[in-house]
Amino acid sequence: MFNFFGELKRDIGVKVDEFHIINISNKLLYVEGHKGLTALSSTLVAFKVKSGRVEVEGEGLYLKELTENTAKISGTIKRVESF
Amino acid sequence: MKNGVQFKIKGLNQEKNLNILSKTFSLHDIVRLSKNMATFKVSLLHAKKVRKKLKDLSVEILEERRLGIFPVLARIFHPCIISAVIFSLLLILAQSPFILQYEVIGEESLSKSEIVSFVKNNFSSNKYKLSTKSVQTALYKEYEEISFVSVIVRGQTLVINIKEKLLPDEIYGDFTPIVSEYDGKITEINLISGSMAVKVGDYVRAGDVLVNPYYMDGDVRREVRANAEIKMEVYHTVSLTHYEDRTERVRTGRSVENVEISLFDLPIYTTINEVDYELFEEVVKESDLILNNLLPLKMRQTTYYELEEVEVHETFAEAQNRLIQEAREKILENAENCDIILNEHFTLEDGEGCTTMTYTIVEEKTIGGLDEN
Repeated sequence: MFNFFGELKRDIGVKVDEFHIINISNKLLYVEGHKGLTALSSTLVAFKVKSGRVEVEGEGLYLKELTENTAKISGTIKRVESF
Repeated sequence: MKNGVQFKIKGLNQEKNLNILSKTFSLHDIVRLSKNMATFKVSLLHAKKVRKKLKDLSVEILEERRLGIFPVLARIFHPCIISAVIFSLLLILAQSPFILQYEVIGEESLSKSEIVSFVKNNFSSNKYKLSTKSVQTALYKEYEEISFVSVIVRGQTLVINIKEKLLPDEIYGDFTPIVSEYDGKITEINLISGSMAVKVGDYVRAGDVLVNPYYMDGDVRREVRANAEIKMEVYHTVSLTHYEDRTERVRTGRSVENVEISLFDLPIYTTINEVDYELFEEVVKESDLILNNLLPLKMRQTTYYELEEVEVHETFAEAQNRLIQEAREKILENAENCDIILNEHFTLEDGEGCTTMTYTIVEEKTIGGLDEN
């Protein structure tokens, strides 16, 4: 799968251990550099990241895709918070 | 993800399990159904490994469903179905060049099995090597009864259509002579075909040949079906001896009866009356008491009639009519289909105190006939 940030890092030398989030119209959330899934439900999806934790709240949430360090969350996203 | 395998898993700490799986495989469409239940999809290639991993993690797989076109194809191209189709195709390919069935149409006097065995023995069963023309020629040459024959291969059937020649009966006829069934005298002969072995006025015995199944054309003997209408006088005789003084046993009128009732051949009731007659006649009568098989009760009645010897003096003249009647009845009992009685007569032979009467009935019998085939 094409990894946008992977390609970007390769070009500009961004550190891999950092995490990145892209929210597309509150319908799809792309998370890169997570350290593991900590919570999964239809209203809350949480990930562990290097510096803490990322929580995504919404309705009808599900993981469109999950790999070792990337995830795609689909559904109606209401709030994204990083601790 | 259109093609892949969807797993429905059950277990505690689903997140941990998903994290472990995601380190090795790419997981899709992960939905948490309940606290301990979730579904996710993986590609078809990884399905087997995911299943193994889940087992290692002691996660219960509730459902495993194949998605997309692959399961349909997998069902269609199931190894058993594929092997069956291949086997059938091979079978068809192997069989198709061979003739498996033989069909003969139009045979009447010829035997179907004979024709089929002739073709089987002389020609290949491979339809590509078989020349229908040569089969036609061979059949035409082999069987002179055939006037027309056509052979075609239809699928795996060889169809042989035959038209037989219309030959006279003499060629196929059953060349057996006409034989007399009775003892008697030939009175009339109407020969249709064949040659006579007897002439009018001859006395013949049962089994004698009357008409031979051939005729002489110069020195050449030509076989034909023996056919003729022959009338003959058949003699039926019976002898009775009458004694003028004789002893006859007649019933006195006294009798004793014993009854035995049995069930399954075991006697259950018996009456025993003593028989103190010097001479007696025993008459046994058996009957079913109940007309069903549930209780086969049978009754056996034995009647003992007392007899006495009586001296009888009767002249032949007195007994003549009775004897004639007796003799006639005996003859007619033995003679089958006695239709036309030409004559009846008897001869007497006197002995010492006895007379022997030989009674004869002359009957007209017809053997063969114009309407016979």
